[in-house]
Amino acid sequence: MKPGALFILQACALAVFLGGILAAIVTIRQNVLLREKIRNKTETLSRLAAIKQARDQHQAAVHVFESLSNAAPAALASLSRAAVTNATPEIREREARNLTAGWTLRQMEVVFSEVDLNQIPGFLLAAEQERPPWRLVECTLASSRKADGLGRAALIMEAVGKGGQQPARRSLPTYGGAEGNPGRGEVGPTDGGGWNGRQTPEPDAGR
Amino acid sequence: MATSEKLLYTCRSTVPFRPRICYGVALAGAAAVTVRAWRSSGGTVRQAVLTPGDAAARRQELAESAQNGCATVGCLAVQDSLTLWLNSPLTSRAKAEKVLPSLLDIQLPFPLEDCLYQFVEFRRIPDGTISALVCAARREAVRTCLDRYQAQGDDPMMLDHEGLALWTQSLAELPSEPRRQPAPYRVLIYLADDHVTLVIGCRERYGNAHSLQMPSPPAADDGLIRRLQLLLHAGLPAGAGVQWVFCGARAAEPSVVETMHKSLIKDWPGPLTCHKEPASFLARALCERALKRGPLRCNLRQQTFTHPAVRRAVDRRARAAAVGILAAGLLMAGFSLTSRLLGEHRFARVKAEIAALGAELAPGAAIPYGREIPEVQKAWEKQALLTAPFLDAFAPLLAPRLAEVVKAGRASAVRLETLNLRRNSLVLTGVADDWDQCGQLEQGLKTLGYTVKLQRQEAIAENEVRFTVNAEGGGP
Repeated sequence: MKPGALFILQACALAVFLGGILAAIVTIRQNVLLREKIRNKTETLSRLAAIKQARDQHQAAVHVFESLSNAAPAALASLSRAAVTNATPEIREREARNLTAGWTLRQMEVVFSEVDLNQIPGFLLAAEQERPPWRLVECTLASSRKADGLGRAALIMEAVGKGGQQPARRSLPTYGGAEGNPGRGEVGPTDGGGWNGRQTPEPDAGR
Repeated sequence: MATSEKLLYTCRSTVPFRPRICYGVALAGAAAVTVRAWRSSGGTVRQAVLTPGDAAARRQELAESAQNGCATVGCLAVQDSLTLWLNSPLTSRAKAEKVLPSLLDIQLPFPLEDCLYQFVEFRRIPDGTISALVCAARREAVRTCLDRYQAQGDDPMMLDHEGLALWTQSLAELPSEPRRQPAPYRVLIYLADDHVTLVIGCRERYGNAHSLQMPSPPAADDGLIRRLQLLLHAGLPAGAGVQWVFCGARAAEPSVVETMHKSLIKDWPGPLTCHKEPASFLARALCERALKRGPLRCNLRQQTFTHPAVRRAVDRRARAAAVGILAAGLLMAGFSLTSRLLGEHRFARVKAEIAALGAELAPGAAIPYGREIPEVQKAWEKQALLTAPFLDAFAPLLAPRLAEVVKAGRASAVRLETLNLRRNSLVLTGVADDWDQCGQLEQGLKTLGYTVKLQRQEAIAENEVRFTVNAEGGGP
């Protein structure tokens, strides 16, 4: 190799080496900033993923409801007739709110004036075993001075359902045992879906 | 000759490559002694003396295998060169290296530009200054030496120094005794056919070398002995113990060796030792020094006299170093670029995932960059209102809790008058026959997980105790 060519090679090698060192230093400094940005974005992503997981749980719950063959809640009057003897409740709708996909949340107040309080748990059990279920939100019991075991029971129950009456914007007058679910009969067989174990539905795979 | 010196540097290799096979050629008058040496994979050097016929075949082999780690080494006779210890007044080796050529120039009887030289060893002498051993030869002497080799059909890649070669080989074959006191001097007398070389040293420290013409027959010439004694008087203290070592072609003649030894021990008593195979001693030394790293290595075939193969090897080494540095630079640049690209790719991927997830969670919303969380949260809060009741349907029921509360009341034998149960609160009023029954109820509710606040009223007109329970938490 000619001395000139060797000198050029050595000069190039030195220049490239210095360039490499410079590039490495610049990259290291930039990577520190980039790593911080990635860390922030990853944190954002994990928070969004947590929201998505919650949303998926909600949607899975909606899907369970969607899979019901009958989407209308059972009539509380019918249930009370079957579970509670010698007492007719006053039933009135407290609130109704539109939910997603045509579903409605109804909150009903069921008041038994003089009732054998021991029969209330049976009524509640029957209501909660319905599909879609009635859920007890608040329960107020007051014993009567007339006789042991008798008393007044005021139950606030809610259910998610489709069909029936349109939700009212304000409280409706007392139904007096004729709740608006004419198609719904007496307490039917329990649905085999996700309520048996009362487990929170898992989000669908891939969601 | 100082012996309490500290060795700072000794030249351990002069070849830019590691030859595996070496031919050492020592010229003695018109003849040449050639030794072939090769280094085995274990590092052991094996040697064989070549006959003149072998030497002719060797030249052919050498011509064919010049690129294959095969080297030929010759030497410059002591009479054509010099070795000299130069003492600098400086204590720094780096500074001493700068002034030593000037000191050498002062010592030389000819201009420094006319000679080739190499500093082969640096020592710190007791006063702290630097002493350096230089080996030098006139350019003309080097040219003449190369011509003599070429007349023999050889073109040595390296020109070693005869005195240094003899000294290191003598130490290799007869190691000095480092702990012996007083310090043993060693005088190596190389008896070639045409000259005598005298090398003086102490322990492992090389002192100096001298050369004399060899008379024929040597034993009959008292002049040779007298000249040797003159030289030795200059280099050795009178009466010092000396190890006399003989080698060279004429050292195989016992009468010559014994006569010289008897004459010399009168002034410097000491034992006589002859090296084995003395005729090939110098050629062996040249091979050993070329094949193995060690002290006092020297090559006076420098500058314009540099052998083309050595020059090519130096070029190759410089080229390899440059290519290595180039490759290192390219690798660093490549790694930097790759690292940066990978980082940016990852960042872009995370951003895309965020954008996709944001669009999925807040469909139809225009989400500004960096505002994903608030926008999605806002959209989700709106949506959750519509779907939360579905999930609530799967929460634990309140009816069993009602049964448990009633059961706890029965267990404590209290009469409940009013009961208000919500998901996370419970209010009870009632009466108890006994103050402690309320405590049992309180305990039972705590067992259910409630934080209970119990208020009891002292019975005034009646025996019964009225109580109120406000309980929090414990919801199913």
